[in-house]
Amino acid sequence: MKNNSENKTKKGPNEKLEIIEKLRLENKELSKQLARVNDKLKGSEKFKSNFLANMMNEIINPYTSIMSLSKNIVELGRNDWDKAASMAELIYSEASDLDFQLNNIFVAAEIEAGEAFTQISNIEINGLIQDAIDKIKFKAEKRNIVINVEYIVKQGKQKEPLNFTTDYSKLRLILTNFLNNAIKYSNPGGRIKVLAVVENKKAKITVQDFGTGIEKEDLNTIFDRFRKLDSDVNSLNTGHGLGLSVAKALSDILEGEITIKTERNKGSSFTIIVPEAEPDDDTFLSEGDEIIF
Amino acid sequence: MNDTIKRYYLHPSSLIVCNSPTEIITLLGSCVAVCLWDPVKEFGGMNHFMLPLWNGQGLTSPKYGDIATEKLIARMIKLGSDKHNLKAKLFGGASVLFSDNNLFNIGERNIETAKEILERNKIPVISSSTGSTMGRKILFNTKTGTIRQKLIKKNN
Repeated sequence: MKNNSENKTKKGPNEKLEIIEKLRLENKELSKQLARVNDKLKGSEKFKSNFLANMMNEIINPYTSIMSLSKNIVELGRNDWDKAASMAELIYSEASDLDFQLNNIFVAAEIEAGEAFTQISNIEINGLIQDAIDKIKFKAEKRNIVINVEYIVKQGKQKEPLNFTTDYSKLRLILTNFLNNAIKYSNPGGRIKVLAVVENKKAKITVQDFGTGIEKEDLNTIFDRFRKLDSDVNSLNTGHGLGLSVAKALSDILEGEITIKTERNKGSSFTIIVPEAEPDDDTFLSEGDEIIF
Repeated sequence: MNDTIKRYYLHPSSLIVCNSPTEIITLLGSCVAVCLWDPVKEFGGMNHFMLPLWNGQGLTSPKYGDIATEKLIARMIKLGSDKHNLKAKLFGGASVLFSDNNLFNIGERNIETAKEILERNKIPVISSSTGSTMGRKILFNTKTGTIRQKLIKKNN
């Protein structure tokens, strides 16, 4: 009996080595896991710093322009109305940029707080597209980019009203971000095509550019926040990479789907398909098999 | 008692905490709703998440269980709750019928995530209705903490 119990507690040298080897392997695997988590943390810190640096540009640049242009207007002589008008136009363009950037930041904050509540109404898609273009056209004009809108509508009539039920401001912000992206990746003097179709209770809107395109491997990270593709110092593309992650999250809220087609140096097209929103069913009939918890 | 009580429809990826009496209603398939109730201050809140864990991509929205549940607890505390008083009720996490590999067992994983985070925060789950293949419609009275549930046919 004594021998048996000794056998149970005392391990043979081979058995001990086996356990040590097992622990060593487990330790190695855990170290690897830790390294992977550390890499991810370092990565997210880097994205955060990129984000802050980019944000500074996005906000401070237009803000500085607005300050100096308005100061110039204040100092203008009484008869320089022409100059004042052109400066006011520049102020408006810079302020619109600031408005667009801040709107993305506020909406991202709402989404992250779980407070991006939907406001469903009957809208007209042509008007919504034009509204989105108006919000961003100052950027296109700066780089001589033309935005063409094409509608494919039922009965083949041009500009037939495309009525649809959805959240107007959410869909508009998705489109504005698509357009902003298309402008960024277009070559100066280029063109952008917007195509809208409503069929089978779904709206499909595509924004196509003919610019630099996106590398296939970058497509997986395109919706990450803080991420901006082509983040070289010399890159002409500005932006804090928040826009597309906002577009993706808004599309999720509208139960939509975003698809991207892209080819290097030929351009990209971003498509959003959203189903018609159904009214919230907030009725709760008391009859039937109800259980109380 | 017949005073009309506010009613609020909670959409997926959202959360709400109401410190005035409200009936929060939501529709669940594989999604999960955590209902937190403070019996001392008599108010509560609910989240409605779709996927278990945030994968480090996109916005940190309450579409993900880890984020949605931590945020719900934080919001209750912000509105005056003592964490030790909080009680949780869990709903949803049904098995979905389509078999997309990425979405395999999503309901079960959603439930596990919620339980783990509640346990880590030492918040007891006092009742729950999870799993199975039926969808659920629930109505949470934030004043009394009671939840009415109906099983419905819903597969997502």
